[in-house]
Amino acid sequence: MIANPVLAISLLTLLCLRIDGRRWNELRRFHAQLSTQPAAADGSSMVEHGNTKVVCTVVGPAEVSQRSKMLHDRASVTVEVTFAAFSGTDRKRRLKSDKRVQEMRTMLQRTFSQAIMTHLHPRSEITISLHVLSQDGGVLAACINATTLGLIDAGIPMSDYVVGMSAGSSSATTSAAVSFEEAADPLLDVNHIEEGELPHLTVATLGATDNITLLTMESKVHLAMMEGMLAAAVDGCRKLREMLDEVVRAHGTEVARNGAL
Amino acid sequence: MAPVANPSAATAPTPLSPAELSYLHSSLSLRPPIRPDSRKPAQFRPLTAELDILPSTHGSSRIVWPDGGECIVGIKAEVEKATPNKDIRSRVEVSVEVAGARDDDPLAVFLASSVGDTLGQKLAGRLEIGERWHWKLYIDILLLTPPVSHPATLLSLAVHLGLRCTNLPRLVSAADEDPLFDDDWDAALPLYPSNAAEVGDVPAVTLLVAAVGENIFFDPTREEMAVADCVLAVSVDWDGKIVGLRTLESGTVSEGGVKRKVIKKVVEQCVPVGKEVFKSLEGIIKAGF
Repeated sequence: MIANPVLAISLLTLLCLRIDGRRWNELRRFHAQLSTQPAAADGSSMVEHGNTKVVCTVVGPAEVSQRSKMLHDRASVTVEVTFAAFSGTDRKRRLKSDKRVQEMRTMLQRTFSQAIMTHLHPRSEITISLHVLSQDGGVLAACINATTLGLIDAGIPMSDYVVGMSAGSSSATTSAAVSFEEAADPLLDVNHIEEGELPHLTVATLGATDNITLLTMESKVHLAMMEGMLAAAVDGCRKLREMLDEVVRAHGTEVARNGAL
Repeated sequence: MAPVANPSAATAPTPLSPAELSYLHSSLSLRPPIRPDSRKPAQFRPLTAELDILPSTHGSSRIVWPDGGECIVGIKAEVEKATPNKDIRSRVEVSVEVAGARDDDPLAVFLASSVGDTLGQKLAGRLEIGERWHWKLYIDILLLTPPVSHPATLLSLAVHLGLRCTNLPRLVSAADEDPLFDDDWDAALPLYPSNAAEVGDVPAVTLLVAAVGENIFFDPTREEMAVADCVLAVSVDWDGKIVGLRTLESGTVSEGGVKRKVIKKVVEQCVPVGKEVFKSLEGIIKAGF
């Protein structure tokens, strides 16, 4: 351990490490759990990306709560996202009508309506509720992964895992003579501090196909940096898919051992 | 305290038929009574508790009940300038969010005010910083699933555990200066010192009690509440003082209302049961550290 924090930070830049000591392509500690609330919902999960923590519960396919939500040829997918008041650094109550929350809801709803085989459950509704308990960057990615696990736990047919991942790009530290392409340094799985400083995007891919089903970026960035970020994120998705698969298989083995299957 | 007009309207109705309700009512009125889950009258359902689960809060806890009730409490503190002549109870702000319900859901509002009332002045007195400043404590409660049984006990136990593992940064400046804190989180001081229980200064808990005939049941399930003559939420302190009493709802089987004698019996029984509850909470906290 280095006692002097200034020395520690300069050492990090010397070794090309990030502020939390990771390399550019390293994920934060990933932890996931299935069936966290077996009694309350059909499917539930909890996902942690570093200090970001999201809990998901899935109910359905069930009868629609409002007739207007009924689709005669497929199931409708409803997503609810709530941010706990204590989830951020400062305490802040976010209402459900908050624009950002609404946007996240719509994005998730659209992504999962595609991935779920909704035609198998016509005239029914699948309700996904997500609670963000702690946010430290990559909240949308954590929500996507939690939803995937929740849906698997609920036994809802999907074409493949939908895996979310965020990536950023460190700004050019070298001289202006170098082109953006060479200077751009993609960073995988950005945390809260990096999110505040650097341009970043969130990608969701559909399992082994590497097909992008969701892509969102809100920062201004040079076109040449985009490609690197995207490549890093898709690569991270592939890595994370294996980790999710491991979690699901371990849970399945446990359930089988307990004699539920 | 005044009775509240059916605050548990948000909890799901029981699927039992009138005949089944009547059967349940008579089995609960037997001596000794028979509860559907074969618990003793003063026995609680088993629960799972976790402490200090969220890194971004000053203190947090999670309690899960086997019927699916899950509650997460996060406590955050901010420094606030003291205003004279202001009620010190405003230093604690409680908010409850029930999943799937609207932000102004009557159940959430009722639960928030009942938790706030229970903690009251005693907690607010702990939040002094020097002469001109004080902590403002935000207690945010998240009910992750729409409640199956009434969540008053669940909430109160979770808040108790959350407060007990709350740490606040250590003050390094003098009492009359503007506050300056130690930035080492390891040096933070607990809001309730580890010997708080021996001194008897810990937050009160709320117990739910149902009365059927002459019999009294602690921690009633939804079905038991549906047939009870009266349901009371009793808040007890460590030393056995009753700090709050509310009627919640009466069942549908009898015509409602109970005699004074029953209320007296409930209050008397709450004291020893409360002691037991505090003892087991102490066990959870000891195991958590």
